[in-house]
Amino acid sequence: MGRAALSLAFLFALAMSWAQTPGTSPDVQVAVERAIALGKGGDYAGGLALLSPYLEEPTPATAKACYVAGFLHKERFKVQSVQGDRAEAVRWLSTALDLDDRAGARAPWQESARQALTYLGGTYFDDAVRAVRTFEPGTESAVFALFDAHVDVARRLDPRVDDTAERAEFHKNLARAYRQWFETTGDEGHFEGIVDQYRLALEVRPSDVTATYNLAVNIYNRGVAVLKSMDENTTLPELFALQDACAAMFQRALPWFERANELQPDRPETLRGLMIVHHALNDNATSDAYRVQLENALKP
Amino acid sequence: MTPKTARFGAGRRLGLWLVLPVLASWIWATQGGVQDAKLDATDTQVLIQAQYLFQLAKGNDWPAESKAGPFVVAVHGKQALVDMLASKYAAHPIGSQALTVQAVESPEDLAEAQAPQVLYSEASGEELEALLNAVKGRPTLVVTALQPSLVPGATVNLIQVNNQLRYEINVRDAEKRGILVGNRIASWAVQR
Repeated sequence: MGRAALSLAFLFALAMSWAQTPGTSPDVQVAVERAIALGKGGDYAGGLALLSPYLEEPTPATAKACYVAGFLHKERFKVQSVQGDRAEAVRWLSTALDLDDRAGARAPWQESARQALTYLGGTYFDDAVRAVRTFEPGTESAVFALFDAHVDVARRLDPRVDDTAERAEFHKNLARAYRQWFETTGDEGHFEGIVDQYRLALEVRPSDVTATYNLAVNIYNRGVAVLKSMDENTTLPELFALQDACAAMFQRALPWFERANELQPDRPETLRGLMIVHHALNDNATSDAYRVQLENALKP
Repeated sequence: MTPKTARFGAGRRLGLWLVLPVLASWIWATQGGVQDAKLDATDTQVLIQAQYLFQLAKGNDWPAESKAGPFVVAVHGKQALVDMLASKYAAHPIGSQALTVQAVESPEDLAEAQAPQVLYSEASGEELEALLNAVKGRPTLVVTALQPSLVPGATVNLIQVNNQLRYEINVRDAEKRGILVGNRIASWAVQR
């Protein structure tokens, strides 16, 4: 939709609600009307300046001024992508809805305000996803600041919103991002980043079987990678040390494989993992027992 | 989204907008570019066994008669170990000899071929005895695995010690075969 059409729609919605705002003083109404006109012409700063006196101590009588201020910030954010505008837009739209609720009213612009908040929440979510895709180690807090902003907006619109699954998914995606970093850099800190993010996903959602299994797999694979680093130049003492290092990783992975099996018994991937990790720990009897379980689980 | 679009079916559409991020998250998680790590199914025991066989090959000294032609490591009944040795170590010579890895299915394979410098087997009982007879008195370092103790005629036995694969060695058997056990190999062997 073009900018002109957007502005027209904006004016239309405001005009629809104009005559139905009880308790609004004439000076507020005039300021709001002029702010809308300035907004239509793209002068968002001018519109906001006009509304400014009525935003200092918002009351139900100035709820619409708050709404228009929120809308102007939102429009400017859309045009200029100024980050502060987004937060301000959320703030004033939320305030407008709160004031309207407090007054026991249901202003005609309520639905429009909610739609605007939904849009803004969506942009936070999109930015959070983008931040994961371009993730660099150490920027987790920035990702979750965006995600939290998205959740805050969603909860403003519906307090029943449960962010558990989404939040766990973000941690899991950060774990995957850390894995990509680790595969490139071999940095031990990046490996621990994988572990930390999966553990955080499990703090949020303890019954997440894929997070549990993937945590186990990443730790186990690290142990195998240690062994694979052996080559023709490896000495016997190095061989012994590498065996110790990988055994420690296998021992560290084992409880997560076991936990995944508790969460979802007879899941073939987990049984295979248990079979392999016990084999790697030279416990062939237990490995064989899981092999039998795996064969049974795979029977049609 | 604009106020205009919000006017029609707003309630239902609002619900949709709340669901969309969840849906996007799901699609992102399941179809995104980055996949979950696959479990590395490399046989770690085989990795370690291959490393030990290479250590034994380069750490001992064979008689002159064994220094012509390739250096042969024969593996009985364990193709995975043959493949691992071939892929990881076959490009690295032992002294001036090219390393060759040979799969052995039965003692007859040994009788026909040049005596391998190293023979690895996890067999036990009569099967192991037949293999040992096939290389009796020959300059072959026989390596067994997880035997309760060193079997007469075997030179090295891989054993488990505290989550590690280690080895014990019968130096006298090696000497009988004309093989000089290297100092490092001897000094790191487990004594039982």
